[in-house]
Amino acid sequence: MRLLEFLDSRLGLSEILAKFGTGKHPPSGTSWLHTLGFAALTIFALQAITGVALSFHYSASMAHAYDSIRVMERDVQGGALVRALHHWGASAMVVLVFLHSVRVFFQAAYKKPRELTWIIGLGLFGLVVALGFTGSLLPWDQKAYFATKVGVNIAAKTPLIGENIKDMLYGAKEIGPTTIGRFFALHAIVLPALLAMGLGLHLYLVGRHGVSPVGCRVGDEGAPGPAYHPHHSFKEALVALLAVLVVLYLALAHGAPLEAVADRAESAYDPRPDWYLLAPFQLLKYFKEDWEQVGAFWLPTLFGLCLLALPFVDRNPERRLSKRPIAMSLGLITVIGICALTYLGAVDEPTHYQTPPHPLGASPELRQGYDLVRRNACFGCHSLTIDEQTVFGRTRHEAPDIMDFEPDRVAIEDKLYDPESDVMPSFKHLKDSERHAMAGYLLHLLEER
Amino acid sequence: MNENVSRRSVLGKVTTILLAIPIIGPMLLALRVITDPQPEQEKQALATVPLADIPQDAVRTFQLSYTRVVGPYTEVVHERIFLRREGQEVIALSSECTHLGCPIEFKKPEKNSDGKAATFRCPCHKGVFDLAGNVLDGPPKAPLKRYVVLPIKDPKQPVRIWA
Repeated sequence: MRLLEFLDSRLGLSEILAKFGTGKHPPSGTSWLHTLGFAALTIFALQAITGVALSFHYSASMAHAYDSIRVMERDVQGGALVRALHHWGASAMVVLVFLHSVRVFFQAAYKKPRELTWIIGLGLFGLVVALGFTGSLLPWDQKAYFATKVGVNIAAKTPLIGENIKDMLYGAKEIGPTTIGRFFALHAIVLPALLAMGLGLHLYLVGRHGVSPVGCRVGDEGAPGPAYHPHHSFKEALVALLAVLVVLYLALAHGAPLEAVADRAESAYDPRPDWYLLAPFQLLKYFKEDWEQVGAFWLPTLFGLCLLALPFVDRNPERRLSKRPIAMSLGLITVIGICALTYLGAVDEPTHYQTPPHPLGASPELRQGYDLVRRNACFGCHSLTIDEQTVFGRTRHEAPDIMDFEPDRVAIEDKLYDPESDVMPSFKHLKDSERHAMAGYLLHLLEER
Repeated sequence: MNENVSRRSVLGKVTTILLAIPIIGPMLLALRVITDPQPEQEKQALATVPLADIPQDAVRTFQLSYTRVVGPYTEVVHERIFLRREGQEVIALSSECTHLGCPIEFKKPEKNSDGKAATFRCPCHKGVFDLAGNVLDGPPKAPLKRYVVLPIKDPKQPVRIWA
């Protein structure tokens, strides 16, 4: 206790807290809805902690990135859980930040004197999405490769500097070994540093101007409610804990997905972005030919500018929803529009099938067989069922499951050479050694069972 | 008195500039380093396919492999291309959609769609190309990239494709 007193007298922490946080009395309307920002902050802490743990095992090189993650998930105690937490934490961050900004919009908390708090908040939202986008490349699986390619090509539609942005992100003319290091630098250093700085400013402004009173006109700061700590802080702690528990549940129940290692030659891969980018992804489908740049650049930019200008354009001093008909209808249309686009993007079922991860530590021949099986689109018709539940390949398959094959290497090789079937193509044109490698990999799958 | 104030304000401005130099200087340098990509060697690929392996009036998927050297990295790239033969002429098309770079698929016409031709389709944003690589529908603007196929002088010799 004396140590604490000593530290406090020298640091003056309790003075700062009294001025900016715990000692304040937020307005009486402050409710459970005001806990979302704090929950997002808590998830950010979770992301920082799990991210550091991941970075100790991760190798930001094209040759090792995928393997480093596979080995960490298999051999490191808690490795798979840490990655799953980081994966689901990213989604939780987006959900919480989105709900937080929706709450701020509908309660008109962005109005004077909190314009800057809103603008910095929008920047933070952008950083959260950028962190998700850069993070999804790092595993270097199929999804990482193709979703990043599409995303960067969208950024390249920016007028004038589009190609420069692309070059800067790729570090070369095409996505490849130089890209992964750049995305790691962005994901682990640049963006978190910007996010931390922005958060500091955001929180400082929340402390400086206080919580916006609910339902009061601009200028009327409302009646103070009970002290922030422990009355409101209790609610915040509870919601934050709940958020972390939901992330933990999702991580334990579903793990983090990892598709097959990136291979641009694999037949018929249908890239899909992470769910929170489905809305702009879906939007692009409606803009054809010369209108393409409108959907890729102008519309999202215009939307962003409108949000930035909102506190200055919306001069209505009312905060009650019933007195803000225009803002309320525009807000509702926007929220419904974003949700609808995300939904449409999600139900537009991808045609791609998931191929099994490569065999860890496999011999070069096995690796060759694995590559050939994928590039010749075996999984385009055949499925692969492991443990009676994990299904790779086309789920609505027409061809026999690989697990039902005769475990005979020569028979498989013969079948590849001459399938004696109208449906299955022949792989006559491959070298003998290539068919041998393919059969070897298929046999390996059968023996894994 | 006035002299003092103006001296102080000048000193303040000089201090700001002095502090700005060690921050902005490295920032400009870093920006230059970030925006300058690593040197890339001109990629060269020459693939050969026996002419007999490219069926008449059908589309054959072919894998083009080449080495790409960027800075210190050497990467073996496998690319999927489509080969098609019209008489003695062979067309080699890239499988990369010209809209955003998704891999396109070859689609045979449905059984009951009378008169509809086979196309290439992009699963991402529904771009459609004809077998010559021209845009039929969807967001893409440019036709599919064509690889150079060296003129076929002797049908017994394999077809040579340049990337």
